[in-house]
Amino acid sequence: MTVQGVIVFDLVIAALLVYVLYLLARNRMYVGYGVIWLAGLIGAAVLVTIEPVQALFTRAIGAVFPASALAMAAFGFIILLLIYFSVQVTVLADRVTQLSQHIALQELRREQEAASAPPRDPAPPAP
Amino acid sequence: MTLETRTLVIIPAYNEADSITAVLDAVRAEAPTCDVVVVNDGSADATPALVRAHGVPLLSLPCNLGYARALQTGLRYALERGYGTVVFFDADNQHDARDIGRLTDALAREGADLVIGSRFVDPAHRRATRHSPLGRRIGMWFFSMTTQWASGRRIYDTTSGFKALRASAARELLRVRFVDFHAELLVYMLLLGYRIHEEPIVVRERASGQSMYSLISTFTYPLQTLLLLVIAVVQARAFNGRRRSA
Repeated sequence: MTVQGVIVFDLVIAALLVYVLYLLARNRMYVGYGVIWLAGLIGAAVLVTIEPVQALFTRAIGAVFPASALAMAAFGFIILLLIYFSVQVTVLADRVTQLSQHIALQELRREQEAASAPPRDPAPPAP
Repeated sequence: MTLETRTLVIIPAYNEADSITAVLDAVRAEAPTCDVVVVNDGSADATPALVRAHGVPLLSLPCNLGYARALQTGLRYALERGYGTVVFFDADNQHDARDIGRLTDALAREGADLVIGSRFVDPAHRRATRHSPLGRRIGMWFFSMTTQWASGRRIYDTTSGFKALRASAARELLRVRFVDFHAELLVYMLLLGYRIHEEPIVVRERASGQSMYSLISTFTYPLQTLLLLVIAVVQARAFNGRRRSA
């Protein structure tokens, strides 16, 4: 990659890092997800900026060109992230199910208890 | 009536305002000894108001969780209250409430844990369904065959929503995250050693409301069912393995 390309890439990554940190600071992103994004962005910056690391990674995955190795790394990261989010959505859906069932059962229990409770004596008149 | 024989009819309902009153009237008239609970699965129409007006206990889910989870909510209610038998009955007025007694009787008569109100087990009934769309008949055959492949036992009507089961079997159905509550449930129970019987019934065509199967699901449902069957087999084998080692 040309020096200009590396600079542009690093600038984009820096902007994304700032954006993720901003979202974390405003409590608009869960810290657990923030760690994954930060690690991914820093990893991408290291891969693109430090040439020996890039060459090592390219050889390690059997790619010929560093650009294809980077594309493969990005693709793998996105797929992993999507699977991770699918798992998280499933966990949340399960919690919503449990909560909804609990609410429905509690509401009916409360209604039935209210219906079977003896009527209250009227309050004595105020002196 | 003893505690063990108390029966609860669970009616899951999603936007069934057109039929729910008729269904509740029929169940009350034809199965007067059974208790009834309706599980409102996040309906947007007047279904919950109609059920309340009828004086039937209503489990109202705050959002739509789907058929299986609505039934599991009803099962939790049944087990909390100590019912010995549970009946699943659809809210679309396709089932005949007179068959509730036949299904619960069949539980004792056949020594079964689960009885399916089956449209296809009786050859005469099967012939009566020849007017059904070809796609639906192919689907029914496909689900029946895949259930046989997965469990070793032929179940003719895997998608019937009319079932009666014992509380012991009902307890089993709360341990797994079912999606469909049809073929996957049957395979899971068969592999766990529960006895399933099919009792012939006749169903009416749906007169109002909307089926939960859309055009898209016509294509995705078979694939989903196949995947669910594989998961059910894996989960049942894992459970049996744990049971043996314990």
